[in-house]
Amino acid sequence: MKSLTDAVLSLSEKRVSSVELTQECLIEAKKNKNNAFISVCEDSALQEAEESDHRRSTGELISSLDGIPYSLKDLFITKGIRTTAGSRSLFNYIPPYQGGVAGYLKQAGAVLIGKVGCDEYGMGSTNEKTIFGPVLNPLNTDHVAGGSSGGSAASVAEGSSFFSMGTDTGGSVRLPCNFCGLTGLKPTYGRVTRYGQIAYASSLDQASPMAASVQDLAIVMEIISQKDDRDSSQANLEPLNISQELESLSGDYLKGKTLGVDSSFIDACAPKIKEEQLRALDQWKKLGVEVKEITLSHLKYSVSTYYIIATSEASANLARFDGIHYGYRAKTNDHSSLEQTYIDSRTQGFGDEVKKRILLGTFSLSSGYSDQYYAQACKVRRLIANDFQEAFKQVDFIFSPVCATSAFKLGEGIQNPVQMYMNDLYTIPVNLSGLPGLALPFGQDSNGLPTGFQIIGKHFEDAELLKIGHAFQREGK
Amino acid sequence: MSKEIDSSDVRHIGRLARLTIHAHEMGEYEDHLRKVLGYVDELSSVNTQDVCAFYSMTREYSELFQDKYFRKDKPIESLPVSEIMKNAPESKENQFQVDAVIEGDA
Repeated sequence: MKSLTDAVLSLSEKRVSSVELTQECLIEAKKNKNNAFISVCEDSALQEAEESDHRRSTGELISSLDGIPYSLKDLFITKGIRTTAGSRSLFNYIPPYQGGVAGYLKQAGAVLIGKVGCDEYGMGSTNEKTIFGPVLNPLNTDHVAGGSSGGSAASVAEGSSFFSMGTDTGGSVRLPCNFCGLTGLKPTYGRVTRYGQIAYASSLDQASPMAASVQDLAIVMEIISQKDDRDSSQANLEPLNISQELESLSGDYLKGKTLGVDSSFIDACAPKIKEEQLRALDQWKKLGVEVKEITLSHLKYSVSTYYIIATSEASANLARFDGIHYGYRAKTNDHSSLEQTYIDSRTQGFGDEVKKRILLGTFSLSSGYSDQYYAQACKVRRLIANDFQEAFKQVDFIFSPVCATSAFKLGEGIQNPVQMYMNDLYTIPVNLSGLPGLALPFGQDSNGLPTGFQIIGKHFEDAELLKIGHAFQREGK
Repeated sequence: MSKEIDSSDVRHIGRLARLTIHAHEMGEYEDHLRKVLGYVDELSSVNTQDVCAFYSMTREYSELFQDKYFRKDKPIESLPVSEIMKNAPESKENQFQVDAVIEGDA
């Protein structure tokens, strides 16, 4: 795995050029041995790298990310570059406009290596549910990279990108980070623009960076947290300005901070994962953090709450795909109605998992059932968010596993879908409550696969979260 | 109490969602929906009396941050029609084209 922070330094000291970094990444991306990439942007990447090197030679650098190669989950709209959402329904879609995240990174001079794989429309935990085939875990290719941002995680772990942008609706960035040994931040909902991010569940989706360390994430967050007037659900805040602060963070920064933990979460983990969670907590204590027991009693309903709310929103968001204006259109011999073209295009364009979720969401919102399912789920969502609010009266941050296991074997989840949904139990509550969550790698399972944990912060305290995460990584590895 | 799902329900929901569930896949879809609805039934046991629903963060934030989340509408130039049409599955003279629909009265 490559360090973004080191690459920024190497570029500034002119020990390496952006073209050289880009060529190295392109070699890996084109091999595509873990099936991370859907599209490799070789020509434009080399051109962007040359332009960056030229700016560097004339002292006109735009940002710290100038000349840094990265990848984007194929849910981010990129002007002139095919954007598929991992779906047949958009297999040939070339956006005529630039999305927010892609635009800010381009303006910052970052070099787009390519668009990477994901579960179709972000719906999955394994990155196996896509027409482009499963993304493999670079650390052990018998295992999944995790999902839905599996291509992002694999591209960073295999060294074809210095960072990647994923999206996290119920854990889709923190889970693949956990499975591939990366660091990932699901920012507070509203901290990063969603303009030009293909919607799965609008009240939960959040663009999220993935990289080798907290320090690397901080550099990316400074660029992508710019205020975007095109997203009315983005908070009216200044971009994060945190990198310098991280560098000068005092040695005893963690002293006196309090970390809440609901032990029942840890007890529910597989034995080796539990062992690593307890070892991580010991490490926090050694660094001066006070660990306090808290109770988050409604979080056990998170998976049910999430699958009602997320699929309800998805059923509405994905109604736009009708085969008329863009994307896949079915050839139909039934000319009795235009509606048949919509139905056939959608039926052939969407994969099974997407259709199952649309059906569940449609049912949850349908006449006679919406009070019992959707409205009730939104009330339980309030109780889950309240549990966090209460906990944050007693502690500064909350510690939790990311997943009860390490990376699943390929094909493992196909037999029992409800069990597979349960794997998101620890990540989902963070999205339901709109809080920021930082996934940190820590330890290994008995097969040498990475394990880790997450730290949850208060609304809009993303900078604080990055600070304690950095202090931990600096001292506690 | 969870709703007992059968294939006619799945077909009905499919119609609402503009999706066809073919006969050979009906068993799988029906089973999946039944399992998930059986699981989420736990929500009905949660006491939510007097609990205010949480629909979206934006709504939460507008209370926390008053009107900072809203801006005035700013009209901007639209994309050229010819650019939009490049993604149309079928188009003619800068318009979306669909198959002729023959309305039958059968």
